[in-house]
Amino acid sequence: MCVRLIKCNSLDLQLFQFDYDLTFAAFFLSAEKTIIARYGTRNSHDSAEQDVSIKGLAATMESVLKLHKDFDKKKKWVLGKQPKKFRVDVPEDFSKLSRFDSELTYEKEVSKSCIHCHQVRDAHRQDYRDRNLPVPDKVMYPNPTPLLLGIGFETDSRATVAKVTSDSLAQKSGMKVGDQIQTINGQAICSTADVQWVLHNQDKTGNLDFVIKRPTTLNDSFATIKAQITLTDGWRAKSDISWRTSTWDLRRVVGGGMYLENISDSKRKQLKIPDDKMALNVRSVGKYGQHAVAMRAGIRKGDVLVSFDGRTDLMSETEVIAYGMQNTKQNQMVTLEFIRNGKPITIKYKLQ
Amino acid sequence: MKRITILACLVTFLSVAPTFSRTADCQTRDEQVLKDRELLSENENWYYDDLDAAALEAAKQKKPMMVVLRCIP
Repeated sequence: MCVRLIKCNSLDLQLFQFDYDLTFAAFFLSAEKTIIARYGTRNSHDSAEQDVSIKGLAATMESVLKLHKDFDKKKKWVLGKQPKKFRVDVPEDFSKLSRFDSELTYEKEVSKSCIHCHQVRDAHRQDYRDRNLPVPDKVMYPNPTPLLLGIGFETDSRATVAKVTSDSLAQKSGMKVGDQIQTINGQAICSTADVQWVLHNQDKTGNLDFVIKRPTTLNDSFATIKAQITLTDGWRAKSDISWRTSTWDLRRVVGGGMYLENISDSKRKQLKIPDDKMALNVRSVGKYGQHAVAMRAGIRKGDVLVSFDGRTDLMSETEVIAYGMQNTKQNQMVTLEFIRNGKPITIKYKLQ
Repeated sequence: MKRITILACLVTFLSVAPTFSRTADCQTRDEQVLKDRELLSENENWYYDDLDAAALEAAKQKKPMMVVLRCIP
């Protein structure tokens, strides 16, 4: 059964929990709406579709059909894949999205009546902000990529390891290129998205227990091996959220509309900024509405941010945004220090 | 049998692939949404925005469901 869901208006968020920054996502469910697998992965803004493929989707389908056969006996393998209790039932229940109707207006400006997937994440974060609560890590850094563990998967496969990064957690666990991930913590893995779901629901620390099928030197034979990765505090915060569409709204909230990027090594040397100190180039500033707060405060493209709210150890745009969402409040005045044309300047604005 | 099922599903998927593509012929976003609805709501292999109807049929046919969420470009 193929189902096309066109909008997030009235989407059942107690069921459909996934990476809302994707451009293509698929769920595989039983008739009783038990989740068998998720499909859809993204690691880049500009190449949104490089991590998905028809062959990869087919490989996921194949493993879904295997699981679905005699499903009652195999449900234990998908128990961990089921959705968790979510704060609201449908996106319109968030105050940020309450202006939307549950249905699209096909007759007039239909695309404007649509709640886009990334807006669910926008609204979830804003909900914490509105309640003066820090955004939890799980909401700040959703659906972490396996690249954080040092694992790159073949796009055309279900979950075959294509790359193991040197000195990574994956390499230390003994994982090798060609390994086929069967389960993690007892969950059947049908896709990279399934791996990300496991990571998404991990705590600050804990173990990931892998069961792996590894090709042997004998033709068409595999060995089943186990591997374990231990997550330590801070693992999730190594995520890069700058590519995410939902980060655009965070640039408004924390940066007043600034888009930051790391400066080059040569520019860092030229400005004599130590390697362990903040140095972020203002790539652009918003020009309209609430995205123009930084511009109205006097911040210009090409300024180099060296301190945010007294912090000089935030080394990326992601770290600045996460600090802002987890350690500041709405309407708080914040002081920023920049270098412009070789000279220091100080600018203040009110956070949103 | 399983391979036939996957193949059938992929053919179904690919038959409407243009509507999932970022290079659809339509000019505006609204036109793309309307074309997507036209193509999929008339396709007998797809349930357009109706998960409950698909679930009823899935129960009858004892098949799993593939639910696709694809942002219109």
